[in-house]
Amino acid sequence: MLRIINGKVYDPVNRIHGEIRDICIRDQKIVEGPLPPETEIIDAKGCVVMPGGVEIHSHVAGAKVNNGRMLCPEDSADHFRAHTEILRSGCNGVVPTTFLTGYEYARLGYTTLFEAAVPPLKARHAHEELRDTPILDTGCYTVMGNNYLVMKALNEPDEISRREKLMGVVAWLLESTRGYAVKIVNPGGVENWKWNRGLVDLDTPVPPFDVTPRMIMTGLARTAYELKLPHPIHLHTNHLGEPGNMAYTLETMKALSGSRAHFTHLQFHSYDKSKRGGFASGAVAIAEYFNNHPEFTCDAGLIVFGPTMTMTADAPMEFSLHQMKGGKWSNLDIEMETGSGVVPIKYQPDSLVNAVQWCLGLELMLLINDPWRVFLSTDHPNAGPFTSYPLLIKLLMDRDFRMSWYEMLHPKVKEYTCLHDLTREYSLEEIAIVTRSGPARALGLKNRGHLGAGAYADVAIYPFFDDKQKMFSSASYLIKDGRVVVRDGAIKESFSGRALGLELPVKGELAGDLKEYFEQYSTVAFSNYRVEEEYTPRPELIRCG
Amino acid sequence: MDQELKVHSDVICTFCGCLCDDIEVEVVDNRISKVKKACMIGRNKLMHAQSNNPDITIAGKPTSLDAAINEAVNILTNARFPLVYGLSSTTTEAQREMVEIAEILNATIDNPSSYCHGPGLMARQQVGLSSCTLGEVKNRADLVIFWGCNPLESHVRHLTRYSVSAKGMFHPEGRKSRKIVSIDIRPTPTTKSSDWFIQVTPGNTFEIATLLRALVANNPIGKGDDALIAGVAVSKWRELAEMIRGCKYGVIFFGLGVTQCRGRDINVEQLAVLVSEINNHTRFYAMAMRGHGNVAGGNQVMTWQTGFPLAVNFSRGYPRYNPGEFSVIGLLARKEVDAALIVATDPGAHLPADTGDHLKNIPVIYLEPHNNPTTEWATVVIPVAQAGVAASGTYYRMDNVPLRVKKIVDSDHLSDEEVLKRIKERITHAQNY
Amino acid sequence: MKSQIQLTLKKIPDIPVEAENIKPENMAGKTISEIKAIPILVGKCWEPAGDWFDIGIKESPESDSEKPVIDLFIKGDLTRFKRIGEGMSQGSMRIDGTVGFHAGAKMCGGELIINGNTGDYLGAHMKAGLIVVNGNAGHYIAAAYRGHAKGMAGGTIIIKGNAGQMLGARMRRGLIYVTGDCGDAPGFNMKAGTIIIGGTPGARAGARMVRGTIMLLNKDNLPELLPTFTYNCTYTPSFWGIARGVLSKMGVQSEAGTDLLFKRYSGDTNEGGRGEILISA
Repeated sequence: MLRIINGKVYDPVNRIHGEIRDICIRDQKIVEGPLPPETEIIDAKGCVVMPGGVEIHSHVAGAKVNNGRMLCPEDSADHFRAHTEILRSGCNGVVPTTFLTGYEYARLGYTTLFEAAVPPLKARHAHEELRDTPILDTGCYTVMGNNYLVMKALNEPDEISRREKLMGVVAWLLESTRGYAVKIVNPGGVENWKWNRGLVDLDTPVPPFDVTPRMIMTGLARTAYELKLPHPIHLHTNHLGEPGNMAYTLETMKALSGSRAHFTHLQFHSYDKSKRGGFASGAVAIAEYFNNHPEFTCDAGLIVFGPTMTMTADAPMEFSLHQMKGGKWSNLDIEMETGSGVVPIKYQPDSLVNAVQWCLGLELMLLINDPWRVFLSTDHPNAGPFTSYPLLIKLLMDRDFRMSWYEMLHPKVKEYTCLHDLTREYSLEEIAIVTRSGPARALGLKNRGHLGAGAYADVAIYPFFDDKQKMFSSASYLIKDGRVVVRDGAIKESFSGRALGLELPVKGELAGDLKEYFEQYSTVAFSNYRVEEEYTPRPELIRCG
Repeated sequence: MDQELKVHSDVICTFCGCLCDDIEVEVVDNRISKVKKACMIGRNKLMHAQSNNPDITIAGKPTSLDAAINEAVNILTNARFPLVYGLSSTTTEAQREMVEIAEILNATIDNPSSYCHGPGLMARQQVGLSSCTLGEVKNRADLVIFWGCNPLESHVRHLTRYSVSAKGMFHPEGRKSRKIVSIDIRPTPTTKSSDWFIQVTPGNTFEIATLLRALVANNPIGKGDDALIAGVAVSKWRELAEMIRGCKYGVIFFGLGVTQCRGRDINVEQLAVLVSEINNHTRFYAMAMRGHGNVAGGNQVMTWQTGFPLAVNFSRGYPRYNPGEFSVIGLLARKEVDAALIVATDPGAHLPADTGDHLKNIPVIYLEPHNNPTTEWATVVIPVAQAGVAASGTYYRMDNVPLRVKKIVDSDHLSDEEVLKRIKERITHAQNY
Repeated sequence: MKSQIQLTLKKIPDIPVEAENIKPENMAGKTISEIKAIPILVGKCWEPAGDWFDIGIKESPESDSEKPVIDLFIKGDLTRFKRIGEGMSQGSMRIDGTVGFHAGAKMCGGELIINGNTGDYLGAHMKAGLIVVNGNAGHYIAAAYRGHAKGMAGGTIIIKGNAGQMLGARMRRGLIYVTGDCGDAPGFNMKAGTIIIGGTPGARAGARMVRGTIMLLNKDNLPELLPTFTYNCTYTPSFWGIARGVLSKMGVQSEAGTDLLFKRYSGDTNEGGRGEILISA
């Protein structure tokens, strides 16, 4: 048992806006209290108390992440931690090793973490790494946007049979991979690239099943709805990173309007085109549309200047990035499912493109009115490492600080962005929403992201400083499942978190023709495909609906 | 009494990097009695999996498991520069324990890839690699190049399951719809079954890859069409370059003939750049013909836990990487290690004799299911339940697809993972008190 | 008055030792007992340098000769000692004996003289300063560590014996001179800088070079160049005289005259062809 006293509590779900409250913890949960007088006390005087952070989109485990680590040993040479009696060693400042990932997230006050893109065939790998990512509860999203079984089901002419088959495939994929959500990455575009064809638009028929990106996205959105998944489709739209892709993103939003959808790393999809064909911010138009569509959520994908690594299932995007920049390029096509690519990158303030991207991400976060629908992310490590969150929080909370960075950017950035005109500053409550309560709600996690009775006792306590970067850079305390993991900024205990999965309303079964198709063309036997329960030793299944 | 017959289907053969997962195994009274669908090597391995187990020994004398583990802990905790080595033929679950033991001991850890396909990993660290899973080869590839490898003898079912005669989605005719090219220094069964065998002089992989890069990209070269590169006329290489540019989905499988011939990692580096540049014209990929069943998994585990796929040193408490300096051959050749924990590999058979000899002069703890050259001289021998036969766990196929290998019979022995966990716990205990 | 520090190895270790703390700036101005306490990593344990070296300090009279004053002398078979002089930024150090890996790696100033052979990665990622080896050097001299695109960024390395493979691999700037032969792939993927080889290089000189110059002073027994090098012309580059002068100041006398003719090949055409290999005609 544990009582946290004297802290200023920010618990937006329960409408506590910075008042001094006691937080009572018994076993793994938050309780009403009172607790017996001999209960251990944490005095949070001068501190801010928030629910544990919830990371909605990060690349931390699995094939492409490890590919990224393998690709750049030079990122590890100067960034390492020695092991201690409690902690495992680790290295790499861009794509940290698994243990280090868990420790660093914990030190930032996070307790729940989702790996954003897992190809079904490599799901075991992701779970193996998540098992070695300590402290946090973890889950992963299953990549489906270029999956043959999905596309084959969508190709079914009869509507009822199409819906049934698709629901079977999606449920089967989620079950087989122990996934938490439907992830869509460049729907149809990755498959098209494997045929050495160009980029796809909403209505481009994609071989071999002649389904279109529009059919894939709307079909999966509907299936996610029908399965009552706690998190809707998690969508990385086509045309990532192209100037002018804002128009395409708006088209996609129109196509999906009315159904729930999460638009991930929206910054990468919100570019207007300058007169000369270059990058300009499309934040105003995107935010305007988005503000009027309460069915959508998004995460920002904020840019962090410095070296990092791009990694995505969007293989064609990575290839064109490689063609543009040269240097290292890793690619992995995954049979019947998707592709993936990894390219190291360095964002530089004196590059006009990077400066526009940097402004654009912040603009989105400042122009989207409802903090419950836009979340802090760097699409780690694509736009920057998650360890930069404290800096980003300060940029959101402190306009003067933001402008001091703005002054260091490429001078022409003013012509293509509107960041200069935005005076909004995030409050601590809004920060609590965009880093924990909002993502928890968007993920349908009812016991996380708040401090009401019944919630998991996942609590972050930050020392109050005017300098918000300093404040959020290291939690004074992190309590996970009622256990004090971080004390005075140092990790005192480490253990395995839970694996978040789904309790689906239907059993995932492949229609006969799809199963036959799988057996004929996959190189893995049907019975060996499904991820066994051994890979999620501490499961927590979230009920759908 | 009737004998109990159990038939296991979709069993995964753990012998080579193919990890064929369609094997049928019959077990009668806990003995494997029949193996179907596997290749000859795989069948033999499975049929003999339960025989010829070594005894638990210290210095050749039989002892108890407890005493052997204590002796192992004693040796490891007293060593001043210990080596943890192997990983290639056991589960990732065991490999994870090995990494942790190496870390607790501040030891050096390496796997056999450092003298097999490690150069390919080092090359990837310089330039990356465009690759794909084996199912993409089966379903799509219309051009397959075997370079410095002979899968018909080393990865027997590779050709039928994945790369040559497999009937894929877009190649329903299998063999007929693919062009098969092999590049090797001598004729092999694989080269004989290819459409085009390019016989080259030894040690010239780098020159070939260099020339192909120039020909594919139309870069100037300082040689005429009749000049010989690796013993083959430039004009012939130009034909190959044309074939490469003209295919729809091409794959190079490269073997030790590429990674271990003169130049080693720079051969693969040049090959990887070649493959990358071909993608300016068409889709093209390369894949290493990984040998031992889970050598790929060993690289994966080491990378997610330490940041590096092989040759990692923990002397300073954190991982550092440098093949050559911290890889097994260099360490042994320079006689730098003073004790070794070896799991799931046979250094007595695989390492060059002169380097391997140092192991005979230092205390060696050896976990292994079968008698082999190393069990003859290792200081502490602990027999284990063989992964994929008497122990389950994760293996990574040569294309890094993870599969769960099954336990189909019971063994008297613990698995690698279980023995390593006990060793780890006692080391931790010994260091704390 | 200037003090000279002398380290004499007492016993040869049987396991590797990492001794990046042995460099002039770490010793200067210290007492014998302070020097004895300097930690070195023996296997996996930090031990005081005094356990391994006899240490002496003598005051040397201010030298009026032109010869630089050596600040630190080390004597012994240091084959198992890695990282000696790593990151060294000033002063001078002379080693009488063989040294292990990474000697003078990341060096950014000062002078390191090795009277003996060296291990691999001598002067890796070196930024400035001078290394002279009166003996043979190992592989990856002045190279980049794994994963890095650029190795040596400046400074000079002179090897009076032979060098191993991948000499100056991925170097970015600086000068390397080898009196004797070298192994395969000198100047591999070099971005710029100059490598001069007096003896016979191994195969694949300049493979994947982007820019920079490789001079081969001995035209006999040369292995064939890679097909991605094309012949341009035969001439005497003006900088040959300058390089010759610089080298002679460092005590390296080239037998070839200032008017030596070179055949110029440009390459690697796969990397843009802006590099050059100059072969004595």
